[in-house]
Amino acid sequence: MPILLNLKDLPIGIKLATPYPIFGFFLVLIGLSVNSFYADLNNYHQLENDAILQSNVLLKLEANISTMNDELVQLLYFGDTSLAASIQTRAELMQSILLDFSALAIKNGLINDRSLTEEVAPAISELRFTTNQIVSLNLHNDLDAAKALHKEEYTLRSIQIKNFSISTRYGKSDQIEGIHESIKKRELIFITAFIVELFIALITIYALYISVSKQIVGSIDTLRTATMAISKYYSQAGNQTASAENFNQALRLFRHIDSKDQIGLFAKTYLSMINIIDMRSNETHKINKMLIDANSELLETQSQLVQAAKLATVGELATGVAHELNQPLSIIKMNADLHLMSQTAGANSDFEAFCQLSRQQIDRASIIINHLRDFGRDTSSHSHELHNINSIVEDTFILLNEQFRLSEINVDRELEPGLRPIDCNRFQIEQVITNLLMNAKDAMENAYPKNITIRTFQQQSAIIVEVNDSGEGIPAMDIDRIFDPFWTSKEVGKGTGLGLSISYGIVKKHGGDLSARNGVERGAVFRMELPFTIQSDNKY
Amino acid sequence: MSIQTAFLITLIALVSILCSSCANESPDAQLINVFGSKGSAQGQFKYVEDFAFDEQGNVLITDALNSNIQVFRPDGTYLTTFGDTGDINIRLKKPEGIAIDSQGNIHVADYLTGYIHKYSKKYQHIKRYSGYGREEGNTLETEFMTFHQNGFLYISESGNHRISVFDSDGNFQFSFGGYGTKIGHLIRPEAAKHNSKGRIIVADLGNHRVQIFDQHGNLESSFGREGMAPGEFKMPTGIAIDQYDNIYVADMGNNRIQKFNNKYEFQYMFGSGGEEPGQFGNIHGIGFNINQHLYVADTANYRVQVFAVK
Repeated sequence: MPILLNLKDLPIGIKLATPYPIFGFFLVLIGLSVNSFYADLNNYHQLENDAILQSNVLLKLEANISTMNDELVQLLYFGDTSLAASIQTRAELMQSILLDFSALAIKNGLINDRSLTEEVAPAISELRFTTNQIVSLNLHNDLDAAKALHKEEYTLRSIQIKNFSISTRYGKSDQIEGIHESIKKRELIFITAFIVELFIALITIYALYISVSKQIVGSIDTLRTATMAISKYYSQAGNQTASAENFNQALRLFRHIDSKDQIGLFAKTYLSMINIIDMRSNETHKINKMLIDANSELLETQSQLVQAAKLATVGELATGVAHELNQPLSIIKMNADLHLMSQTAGANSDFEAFCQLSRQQIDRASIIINHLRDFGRDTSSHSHELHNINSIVEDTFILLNEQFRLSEINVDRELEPGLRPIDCNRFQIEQVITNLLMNAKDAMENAYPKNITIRTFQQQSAIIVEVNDSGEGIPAMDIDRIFDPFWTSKEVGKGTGLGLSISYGIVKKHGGDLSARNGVERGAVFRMELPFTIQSDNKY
Repeated sequence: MSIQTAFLITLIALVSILCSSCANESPDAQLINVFGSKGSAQGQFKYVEDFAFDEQGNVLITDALNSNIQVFRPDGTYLTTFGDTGDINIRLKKPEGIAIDSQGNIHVADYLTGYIHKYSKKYQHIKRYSGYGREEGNTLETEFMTFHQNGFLYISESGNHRISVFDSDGNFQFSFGGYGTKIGHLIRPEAAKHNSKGRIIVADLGNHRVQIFDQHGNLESSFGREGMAPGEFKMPTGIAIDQYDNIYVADMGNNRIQKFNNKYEFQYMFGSGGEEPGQFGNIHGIGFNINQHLYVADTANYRVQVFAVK
């Protein structure tokens, strides 16, 4: 059934038109069969008519013979010569009747009738001859004996003819009845065949219509379900599992419509459209996420900036405070000196010792305050000078010693002696080291033990400073971002997120490099590399 | 099942219903020879009636419209013709019945004249006897007849609805039957033949039956009735008896030959109306030759058909 097999691949127009040729075929078939049956029935009716006609012809023959017999009696015994012509006409008529009968028999292939006609034909011609003889003899009023002989001959023939007629007619009623039966049978067959043909035609066409519409409607239904699944997928964007399931179901359904008709093509186009939309939608999702991330980063940065600004103010204030504190400290120092001078040596050694201690502590406070002032100043304007890195490191601890002590951090200083001085802005380098040490301190908040090792050494044409802590180390994913500005692992308000970034900038300005890695055992290692010669200008 | 297949099956069914009347082939009778065509020449026929078989196995065939008797050898080749020559008184008009007596003389009944003509073995006219009439000893419309083993000629008269019995010299003996539909009565009997037991089997054409009489004319049995079913007749004409006393009846109206065994039970039938070999039209006399082949007078087709029957 090639038509049925390829039905789904036919264009919808042809698909819808498919039943019509079949319908036409059945129409023609039914028409042909009706026509042939009609012709056949007609034939049989003709046969029936002919048989009836034959029967009537025979009756006519018999009637003719009877009349002829009567007329002959009138002629022979009552001398009614007026009947002579009539008798001769009747004898002639008999022959034409027989011819009629024979013609009908031959026409319908009734060989028995034809044969019987042949048998009786000579009898009829002899009858005619005899009749003529009788009539002519009678007119001449001639020989009675001869007349009697002819009369005998006539009787013989007429009996013969009558017998023929009776026996032939006998079969006729049967024949007519048989034909009638045949007609009835044929009519029944005809009606049955017609109904069967009609039934088959209707069934076939109905089945075709059903399969065509099923095919089309089925495809459209699938399309609808798939489209619904797609719309669910987009409406349930929140529920990942459910929506993915919907989407996959929709894709399956779309692929299921594999017919090559317009619906199939539509499904294909729709599918590719869905894929494009999905791709675009994924991109949009990504971009959205990036925007959200960027936004939150921006917000965080904003708060870091606020903090940085605060710290900057504190720095500025610190410079002012240092200046303000220097005056009272000078007076106290002066007083302590005066006290020392007013004492005679060794008179009150305890008091002298106290004064000495006060002086020392005042000096220390001055150093701290001065250092704080120096640190708070805008360091970028300072010119580069040759400095020993170890002294810079030692200076750093002026401000940090107390912090480390309070935090119970043990600091190991492995400072290689006799390092070649480097050309640098010492305040900036100190700031970098301070940042690295503070960073190390912050990284070990929850660690135990808390150790920081700071090493200085020379490598080829550079001085290296490495700060190693015993903290958690840097998560691998953060290692690339650690020097980004405003990036911090600390909670908001604790750091600015600018320390490492600024440090990186300072080192780069010095033509060096600042890098971070995780230590061999634990903790992070920050490594500053400062070349002896500086290529770039000293502005920061 | 596909619709197309169903449709094909229906078509085939319809065609087979329409063709159910076709081909009625019967293996019981096999056609072995057909001879004769329409005409008056040697070996041609106009109206074949009945057969007689002589000692040599030649077949003698009466032709009603050619008014002669043609003789054929057993293989069907033409031998001679007689009966249509000579004096008006000895010339045949419408020969139908034919029988050969124990001396080999040939007796031919003339339907029209009522005379029975006696010929020698050499087909020489010897005498004629009986005559046209209703009285005993005369005959009216004589049909097929037979020479009984008791030496008498049994002749059916369709005009007098009786069987008349003569000796081989033409002396009238007795008659039986008579017009009527009751058993033992006859209407236009077409043939009287005998079997090895000496019974006379009569085709009672007008009553559409076959009646069996003993050699004295006493009714013994009767079978068949009008109709188309097996064992029924429409104007039975010829009768033939084989060596086992099976009865073959030419059922003219139904264009077939029916076989009955010696207990008069239907055996089989063959033939149908038509012009093809094996088909019949207006069949008349039938008879077995010495080889037990059945000769059929296929009158409407101007021919003789010979069958080997089971």
